[in-house]
Amino acid sequence: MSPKQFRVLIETFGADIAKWPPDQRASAMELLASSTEAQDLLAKALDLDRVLNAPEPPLSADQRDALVDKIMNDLDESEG
Amino acid sequence: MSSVMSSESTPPGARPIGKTGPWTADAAESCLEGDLSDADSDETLMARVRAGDREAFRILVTRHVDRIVGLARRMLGNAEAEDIAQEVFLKVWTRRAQWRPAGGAFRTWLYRVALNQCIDRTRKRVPVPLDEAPEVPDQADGPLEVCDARETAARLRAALQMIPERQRIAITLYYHEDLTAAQVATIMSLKLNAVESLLKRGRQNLRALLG
Repeated sequence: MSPKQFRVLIETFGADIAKWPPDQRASAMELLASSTEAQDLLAKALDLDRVLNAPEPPLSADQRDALVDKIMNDLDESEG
Repeated sequence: MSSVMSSESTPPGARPIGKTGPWTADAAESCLEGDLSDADSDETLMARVRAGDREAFRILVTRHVDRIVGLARRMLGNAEAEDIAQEVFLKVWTRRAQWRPAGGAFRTWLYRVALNQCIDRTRKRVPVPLDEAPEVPDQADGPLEVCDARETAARLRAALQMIPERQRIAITLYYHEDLTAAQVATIMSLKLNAVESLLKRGRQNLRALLG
């Protein structure tokens, strides 16, 4: 795999090589072990991935309970 | 086959996601008897929901409500997310007869219902003039990590509102929901190479907005 091909894959699938097409992973890892250009590309992609992977704050237990109750009440109204 | 969204609830121009058909007759009848458990699979619970079991439905809702609120926040912003979740689960209940285990995992079906609801809601919005649209907030300098995580999520949410809808859907499913490109393609009823293109363009746009 060339650094150019590596760049295309990272721009499409992000920095998590485990989510890349299976037939590309081994050659990507090989390149990564020997190419500083690929290592730099991965480091930059990881920065963006950290933002894209940022979780949404979960509901509090009270918020969740209240929302579930509202949803269950909706069933009564929809069938009432 | 008909789409997940009924034609009367899909405004002109909306592009419903996914397809569904009548539930096939091979439902596991054995799932319909016995005690309910939080450990029951989605599909087991859904078989009971299909028979009208509200307790099974409550377990499913509790299990997935955070996921759907999070998805709606990414698709539409914070303000409407809980309303969307209410609408989504009501739709799951009223259309429970359409779910078919042979058609794939419950989660895939739930995503389709949720995304179609988000698309419906987007179509009904009054467009905001560009000069009144919220800007992507700058990265905060504050050292507090909790605030940092919330601010990162808020920045991403704002940036997502500024990219095309299909890129937003693909990016949200791939990164936030941690699905593979193939799974995203299934949910969006697109070919894999179309999803790859959406992921690439979405990532480029977000890098420019968030950089």
